[in-house]
Parts: sequence; structure tokens; C-alpha cells
Amino acid sequence: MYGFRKGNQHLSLAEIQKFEVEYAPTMQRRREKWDALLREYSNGQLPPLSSKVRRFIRKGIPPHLRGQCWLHYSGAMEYMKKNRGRYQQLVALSSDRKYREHRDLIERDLHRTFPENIQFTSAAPSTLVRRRASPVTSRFRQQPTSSTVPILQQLRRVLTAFAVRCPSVGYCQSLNYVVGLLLLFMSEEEAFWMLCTIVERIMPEGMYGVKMEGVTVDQEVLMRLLEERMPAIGHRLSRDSAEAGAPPVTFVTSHWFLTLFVDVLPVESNLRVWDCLFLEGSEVLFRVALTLFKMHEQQICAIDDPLELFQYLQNMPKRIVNCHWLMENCFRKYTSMTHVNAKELERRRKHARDVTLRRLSTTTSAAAEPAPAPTRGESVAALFRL
Amino acid sequence: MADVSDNTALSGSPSVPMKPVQVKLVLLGEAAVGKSSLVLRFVNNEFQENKEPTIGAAFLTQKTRVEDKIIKFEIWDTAGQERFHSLAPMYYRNAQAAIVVYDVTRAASLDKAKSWVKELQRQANPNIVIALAGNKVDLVSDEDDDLHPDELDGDEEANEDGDDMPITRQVPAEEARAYADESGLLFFETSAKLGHGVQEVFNEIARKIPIDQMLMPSRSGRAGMPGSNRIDLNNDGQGIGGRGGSCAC
Repeated sequence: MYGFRKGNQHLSLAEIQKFEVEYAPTMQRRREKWDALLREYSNGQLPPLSSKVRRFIRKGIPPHLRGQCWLHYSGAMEYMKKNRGRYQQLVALSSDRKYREHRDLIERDLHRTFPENIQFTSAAPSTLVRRRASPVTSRFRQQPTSSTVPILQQLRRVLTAFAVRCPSVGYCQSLNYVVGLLLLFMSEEEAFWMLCTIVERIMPEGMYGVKMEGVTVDQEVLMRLLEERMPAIGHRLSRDSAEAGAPPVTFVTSHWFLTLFVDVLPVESNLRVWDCLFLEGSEVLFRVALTLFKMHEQQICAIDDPLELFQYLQNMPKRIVNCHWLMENCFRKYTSMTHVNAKELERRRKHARDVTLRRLSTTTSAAAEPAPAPTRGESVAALFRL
Repeated sequence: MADVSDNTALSGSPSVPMKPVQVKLVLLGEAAVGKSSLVLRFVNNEFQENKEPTIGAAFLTQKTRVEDKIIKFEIWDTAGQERFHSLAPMYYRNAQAAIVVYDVTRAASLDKAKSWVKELQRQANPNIVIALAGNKVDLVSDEDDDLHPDELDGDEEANEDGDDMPITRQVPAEEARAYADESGLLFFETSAKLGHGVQEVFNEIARKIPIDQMLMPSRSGRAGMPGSNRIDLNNDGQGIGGRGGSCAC
């Protein structure tokens, strides 16, 4: 399904197929339930958000409704309707010379987005170099691409249009994966507005920007949550081990957040996470990350060598083929450990921002300036509550 | 499903006669010059066309034998896009070696490589061994002698469609070598695709690393190269997918 090659060094084809057989009845049941839900409303429209809908979404949106549901419940559809024609305008603008740098960066990643998905590759026989018959000593990179693979053209247009719309972000590697996966479920214009919704509304500010400070802040929040809720793991992954020369765990987790788990989790698990992410917000990323740690707590604590541990963490999500189990763990079994709501997250982010600013100011200047005071009383309160 | 098998588990190999010396090595360079591909070639002896961009950083290990010593490289493969470096000023902290990669078909990538070298020489461990690697020579393999200078700044606008992109060498080997010599860098041209020069880069780095100095558990050695005297007491066999031809054990 979706055109991805099944099976890799982390997960064999047999393991995937075994799960698919197990999961098929659940998929079927969900499809029937959703169809019934849609019938309750006239002419197949998606019902307004309710606790029932939320529950349904957590249990997984059937593939044929995914694109529609993501657009509807994330607010992207409304965004698009309010801005009819805007996407086409941006596409036209994006060919301007001043966006050449973005175009160049995007161009280099197009062919590197899902190279093992049949929809992203063409059947062009030669993949690399062909010699021109003329005496000119140049050579041509015949990429299996743009002019032959429609989805890569769409990917290019969506990414360049977004770079034009949002200069503070431009193009950030990892958005290629996000848009690539979106395009398997919706039209080009829809994927564009979905991208805007993700970057501008769902994810915190500065996540994909040039300084990526949003990433630093969220990783600080995640580490703090780990330390508080899973002290054994928190201790194991503490910054002390990073000081000892091991790569910090945030190298791994920042990848999870930036790609929204694309190419990190197996695709069906990734999609189940997205079902919830687009409705509930970025707290879902924290919940899933915490769940992944909790699910592997024993193994993590059993590995002594920090380098071996880092490699383990890198690969640990890649085997989570049982998407149902992942989401069950996230929202039921480990809910007390993973739970974090939008308001609390906001507070934690504010605190983390202060902490990282302080750290930055002490590491950059020898004559360390005093830590920036929290701007509002609420921050002080947050400090104590944390 | 609960039992996530650990494919990175390192198996002991009692036949290895000595403890490997750990060397932290970072790869730096512009996006899409082939950093991950060089690592994949060195560690797994594989090549993947259109290798996915690295987000954040990836970490691998691989051993190689130099004369009578075994070096275990801890390889930090970094994201090429500029903004990612704000996430990790510690990429090269305590690194004993760096491979700075550029793409021989892209002059701008050498400029970026030079700025990395400058930064390393200013800020990294003063004893760091730096290798400059001009990658993708397979794209220009039989063209080395007839470079047309007027093609260097060809009309890049024509590349917009991504198709029929002329591929020419934009960085002559002699130019890069001269720069490397004057900056005190090791220099190699490589093809991760064909495996050309890759093993050589790592071997040469391994030879240049002041191992004897690292093996001395002196305090001063530690101050100069923190962590560098860390010796792998577990003798823990191969790294991830350590099937590369480089493992001498």
C-alpha cells in the first residue's frame, strides 16, 4: 500500500505481512464504523468534532478517508477555501530569480525523497549519466524525475511555493518528507495548505526556521518530561553521558519531531500518529516519543555502552510495525506517563525557552550575563510547578 | 512485537588480539555532497542511489586495522543543511578526526568545505586530523584532463527542470590538492558509488591519528583531547552492519 517497498534491515517482509494479516480485520471494522458514522450525516460529509469523532480518529482513520479527514479536522481545508487562488499565485512567483537558492536546495532533495517508493521513482532505464552525442565535453544527469514523475513535480511546486510564502522558513530539509507523504493522500494544492497548517499552526514557532530554536526548546521539554516521568530512562540518557562523549539523545529525537516520524516509524504507524497529530496538535509528538521510550525501557536500561545505546535509540522506532499496539500504549496503557495537554505544553515550552537562553548566554560569553528574567509572573509560577 | 530485537547488539569476537582504540570522526560538508554515502560505503560496503537526506545526525561505528592496531571509528554523520548546525555545536567537539566533503561537480561545495575547515582549525581540538574529500568523481571519471574553464559558470538557470543537467567537473583536483597542502589537510578524491578512494581516506586518517599519545592515560592528554584516551574495554566486536571489508578481525 502507498507504494513503499516493504521490508528492510530493521523489519522483514514476513514480519510486516504477518502483522497485516492480523490487522486486516481491525481495518475492516474501522472502515465499517466510519462509513456508518458518515451515513449519520447527510451526503457523506464529515461530522463536526465530537468526543466520538476524536475516539474514532485515535483508533485510526481508514486510508480512503485519511486525506479528507486530515484536511477537515486540522483546519487546512478552511484555510484553503479562504485563500482560493493563492497557491497558484505563489507557484507563479516562485520562478522569480530571487528564489533561486531555495529552488536549488529543493532540487537536490527531490530525488532523495522516498527513493524506494514506486510513486517517487520512474521506470526510466538509465539513472545517472548519459553522454551527449555532440563534441561538447559535458554530460547530463538524467535523473528519474521531474519531467517524468508527476509526484516529484508536485513536491517541487509545493515546497517552492511554501518557501515563497514563508521566508522565515524557506526550505528546511525534512519538509520534503512531510509533503511527500501528504501527496500520497491529497492533491497538490491541498498538500500545500496542509503544510502551511502544520508549520504555522500545529508545530511551535521556530521549528523549521533558520535557527531552529523551536527544535531546541521542544527537545528540552521532552528531556524534562522523560526525567520526571521515567526517571530510570531519564537518568540513563542524562546529559552526563553526552558529556562523556556520546552523541546526545536529542540528535535522535529532534529527527523524530522534524519529520513528524516520517521514515522513522513504519508507514502505517506513522499514519496513525498523523491521524491524531493533525487533530490534537503537537503534544501528540511528545506522547508518541514518550511511549517509544517507555516501550523500550528495559532494553534501554540494560545497555551500558553509551555508543551502543545511541545506535539502539536510532533504530528502535523502525521496528514498530504494530501501529495499533503503539497507539494503545500511547493513549491507554501508558497514558499517565505520556499525557500532556496543550496548556501544560505551552508552559513547559516557555520554561524550556528560558533554560536554553540561559544556557546559551553562559556558554557563549565568558562574562555570563544574568539569566533573562521570566517576562511574566506566569513563567515564575511555571518554574516552581515544574 | 514487544521483543524488539537489537540488531545493533555487538557480539564479542574473542579472536581479536587487542583492544580497539576509539576515534571520534565527524563528517561535514554541504548538503548532497555524499557524506552519508561515504559512510555507507565504508561501513557496509554498499551504495544507494539517491540516498535520503540526513536529518539531525546519524551515528555509526566501524573498525579498521592500521599496522598492528585496531581503530574503532565512531562516525558522526551530520545533516548538510546549514540551519541544522545550530542544533549541534558539539558535532565536532572532542573529535579526533574530520572528513570535510565536497562535490567535484559543484564549485560552491568546495567553498563551503573551506569554511568548515576554517571553523575546525579555529574551534576544534587542535590535534584534529582533517581530510578533504572531493566526492562523486565517477560523474567525471574520464574527463579529468579536458576541463573547459568556460563551463565552470554555465547557465545554472537551465538546470531548473532537473533534467539534462550538464555534469562537468567544477573543481580541478590540482586546485583542491594545493589548497589541502597549504592548509595541512589530507586530500582524496573519492567515489562512494564506485568505492574509489573511500577506504583510503579512513586508513590514512587512522595512520595519522596520534594513537600512542592517546593510549597514554595522562591528564594532559585528556585535556588536549578529552575522551580520547578512552579505550574500549569491552572489545565489543563489530559495529552496526560491520561487514565492511575494513574490519580486520
